Amino acid sequence: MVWETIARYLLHGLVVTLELTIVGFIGGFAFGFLLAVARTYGGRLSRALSATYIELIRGTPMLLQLYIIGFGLPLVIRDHFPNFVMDPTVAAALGMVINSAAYQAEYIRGAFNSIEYGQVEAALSLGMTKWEIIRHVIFPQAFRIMLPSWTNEMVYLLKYSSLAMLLAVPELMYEASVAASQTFLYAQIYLVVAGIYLVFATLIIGIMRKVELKLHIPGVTTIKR
Amino acid sequence: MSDSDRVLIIRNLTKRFGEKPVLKGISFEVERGETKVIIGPSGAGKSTLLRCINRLIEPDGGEIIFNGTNILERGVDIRKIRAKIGFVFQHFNLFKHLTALENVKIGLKVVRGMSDEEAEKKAIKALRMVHLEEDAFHKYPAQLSGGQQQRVAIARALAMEPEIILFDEPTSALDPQLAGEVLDVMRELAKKKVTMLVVTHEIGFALNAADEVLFFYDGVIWEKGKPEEILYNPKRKETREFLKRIADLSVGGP
Amino acid sequence: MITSTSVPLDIALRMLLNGAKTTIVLSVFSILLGLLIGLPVALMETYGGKTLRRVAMVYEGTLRGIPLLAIYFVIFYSMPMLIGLGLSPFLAAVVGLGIRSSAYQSQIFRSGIQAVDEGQIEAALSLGMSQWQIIRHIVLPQALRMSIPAWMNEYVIVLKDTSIALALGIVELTRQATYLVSITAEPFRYYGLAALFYLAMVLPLTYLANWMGKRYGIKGTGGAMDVRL
Repeated sequence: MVWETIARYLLHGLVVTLELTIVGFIGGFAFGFLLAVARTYGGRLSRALSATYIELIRGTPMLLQLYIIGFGLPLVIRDHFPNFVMDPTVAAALGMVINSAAYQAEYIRGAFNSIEYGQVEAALSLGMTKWEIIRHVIFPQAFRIMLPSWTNEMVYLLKYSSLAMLLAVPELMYEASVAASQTFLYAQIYLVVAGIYLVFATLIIGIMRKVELKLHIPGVTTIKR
Repeated sequence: MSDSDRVLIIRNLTKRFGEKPVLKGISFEVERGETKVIIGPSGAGKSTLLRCINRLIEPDGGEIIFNGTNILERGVDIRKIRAKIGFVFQHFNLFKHLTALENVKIGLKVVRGMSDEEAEKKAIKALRMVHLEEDAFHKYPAQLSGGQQQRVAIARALAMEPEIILFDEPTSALDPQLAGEVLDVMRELAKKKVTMLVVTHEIGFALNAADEVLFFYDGVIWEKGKPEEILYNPKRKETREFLKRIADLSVGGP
Repeated sequence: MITSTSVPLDIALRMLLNGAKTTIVLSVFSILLGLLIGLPVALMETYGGKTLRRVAMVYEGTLRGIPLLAIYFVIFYSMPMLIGLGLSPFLAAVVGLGIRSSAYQSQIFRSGIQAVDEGQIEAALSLGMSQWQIIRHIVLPQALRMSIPAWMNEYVIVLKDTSIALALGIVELTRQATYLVSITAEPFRYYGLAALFYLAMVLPLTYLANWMGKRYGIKGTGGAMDVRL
């Protein structure tokens, strides 16, 4: 009976966790892509700015970044807009996007760099434009090369979304602690929650592996046993 | 000889990389149907020369007149020009994510705007011209031998029906047996009067397929003439020294 | 309502420094625990029989698929109730981060071990060495050296994740910074300083790891693998 209630809490939390993960991943990719382009093809200023950003984010803990956005930022905004209140979930999502982008930018850059310039030369020699080359030669290969990094990143975001709990975001960990404090079933609940994360992490890895196998091209991607 | 017989006219081409001059005023012409071979020591700038012709590298000075147009002038649509100049690379540079057939089709579809069926027909024709085995059509480059890959690369260039095909040491990355299949294909093309400009170390090919041989060294063309003249009776000492070194390296004769 | 109180800078700096000290101490203990467990697990997974290998893989997979925060809560809350073993917050923090790191470290060492050239093992066998002697004298010295860059990368990750220990009440750097911000309402200053501290610890280590990656790392992986999984 009690477990029905607990399950409801956890389910609500799980939904928020998954939302944070997905938003973090997609936002991180979009922003990360821009960073990667700025870092590789930009002018001196763009390259410096994006490189600095990436180093800054990768050199500090995600939790610190979440606190800065969820706690520090509202303080600063309240200096000018005294009634400003930030939804902690939005703050957490923002923090995760900002964090993920820095890492994804490097994955994207790595994928771009791993395509030898010779293929670009060949495409140019056929008369293709830069955009045609990106679309027909670079993108199909870069996309496949990045799949393992994506798997990595998705699982990472799934796990680290738990930090949002410390910002009072009602994700899985938070709901678990609420349920635990009400039922005193700490031991069991936290074990179950650990299990839930494990299940979803395994699910993500399993699905992505199928995708990798389906899109595998010998010479472009490698399949690890 | 009218201008339309001369597909390519190079006049006084110069290029330097930083302080170092690599092309010091190159001039020569390629006639339609001709097979011209450039020989010379490695690293002397022969690759640079070829890459200037389709402007993968921008030369510093001189003229490159392709089919009557100086392609170094402003306002020239270099993409259209490149579509008419074929390029075969030393390291093949096939698109790794495409099968052999798709590699040959892609230029036709993306650059020439052909439909898939048209492109497929022309691609198959080109692949047959290089004698690629049918079961290799749907294989990826990583699954093909070096010789097969290079032949696909040649087919990719041929399918675009270019006015001239540039070959940058096409067999240097292949072991002798695989090099042989590629050279055979090139000899056939030469016989079919495909206009070719070939940079190579393969003296045998120069002897039996070239209409003219140029000796290129230190940024300059020192000699040009019929293959037998240059290779058996070189007039300049630089040519002679180079040929001696090559003869020491090569096993067996032409 | 947050009131802005001023804290004298030297006190604030001392607080941050104490936090940084805790961060470093926590990270060192954790990475060492991770090493102590990770290396044997790597050996189990490479040289063990089917059961040992399976156990190692389950161990690794589980600890890599669960958030550190969840590991902390299981250790700190679940364990006392289930097996009666209660750990102090600091110990729980070290154990949690340590065993999580061990799962990643075992992967790192496994890569290092597998990168040792087969031919050398054949040569060693031909000399009459036993399996254990080969591991000890031929494989491990080289495997460990090749693992250094990736290992240093792992240390950087551990260093950053010490921040999560604040959930157990550990007074480390991020917690100090947040505390100071909550008192003074000066996020730029204190979060900025905290960020600088972390960067000062992380950046040199990262460059060192990359440099060592080029010299000692496994060829073809670019040395330090920035693997997050």
